[in-house]
Amino acid sequence: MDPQLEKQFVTQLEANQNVVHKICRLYTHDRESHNDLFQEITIQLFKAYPKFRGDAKFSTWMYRVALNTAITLYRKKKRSVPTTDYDNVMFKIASTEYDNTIEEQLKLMYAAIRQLNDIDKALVFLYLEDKPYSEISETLGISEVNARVKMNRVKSKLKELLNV
Amino acid sequence: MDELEFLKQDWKRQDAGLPVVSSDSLYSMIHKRSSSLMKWILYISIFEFIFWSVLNLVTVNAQTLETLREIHLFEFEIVITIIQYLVLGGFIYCFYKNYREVQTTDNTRKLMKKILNTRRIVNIYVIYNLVMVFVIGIVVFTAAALYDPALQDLYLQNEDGSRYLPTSIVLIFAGAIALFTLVIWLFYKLLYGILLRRLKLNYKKLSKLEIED
Repeated sequence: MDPQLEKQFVTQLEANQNVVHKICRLYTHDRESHNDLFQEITIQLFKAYPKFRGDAKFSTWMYRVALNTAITLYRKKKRSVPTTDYDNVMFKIASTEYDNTIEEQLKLMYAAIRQLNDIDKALVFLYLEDKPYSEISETLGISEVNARVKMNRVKSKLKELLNV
Repeated sequence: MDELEFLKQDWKRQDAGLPVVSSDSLYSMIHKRSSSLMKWILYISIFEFIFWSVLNLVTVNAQTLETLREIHLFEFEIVITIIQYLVLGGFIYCFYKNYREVQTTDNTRKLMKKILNTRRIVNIYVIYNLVMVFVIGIVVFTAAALYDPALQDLYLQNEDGSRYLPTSIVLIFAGAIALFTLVIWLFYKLLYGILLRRLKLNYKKLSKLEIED
């Protein structure tokens, strides 16, 4: 690839890498897998970059490629188990801003989300990123109505998981 | 307030706690090799095309051609070889065309469908080969039973003078052909079961949503 384009890509990815990290922490359970998925997403983004026309925001374009890689293309190297150490670091809650009860509640919610299946996680992720249903449905390839129905089901599922 | 709405507020504050990858590391990452599912499918598919072509090539040599002539299958072998290569060419073309169409910028459901289609092409090629192994095995065995001098000694004679091959011999040949086909089929089931299980599961989940509409 043209070195200029390469530089442009790295600059844009560096500035928007949070999106990729957030996806990685939803789909992996340990630091090694997180880094592994981050690398695979970076490679896939770079491969798709020449086709990025700039008509959408770079970060918006990233969502699709990054989620597709996490859900479809990424091959977990080994079975990983959630570790509290990783959870504590990756889901670090700004504890100074919350009291312990809220912090505990947030931790439980993150843990519940990570128990969801790959598709539900993608829905929750896009929802938390404040994406409109039109964009969620377009990214996943389902109708807007179904995206809403599915999201409501996911909310009920999360409620169930939190009440167990 | 709904749980997710509550989480959404915290979600935005998360950025500060996230890891930071330097631009130098990003540069080195983009030049690394992908280990994606699609790469694996590509490598395995190429291996399959080569495997079946080599298998065709090594089974044809001067001696086997002579044997084929003896059992009246020489022309049959030539026709089958031509068909095999035409079919292989067709499959490689379809596979490559589909592979090129797989893009991470597609929506998730479409991407999954394309990957599964690409894989399906190679699966059909494998099934085609298994059927061919089975059919050719039966044809060769029948021809050998009729014309191969080496098999003539195995014939038994009926009281009325007619000759027949003992059932045990027929069963051994049929069993060998069936076993070979079964072993390869099981190997595929296992290999792709492992490789595509998660993808198939996710694709079903998304497709089910659309059916419910």
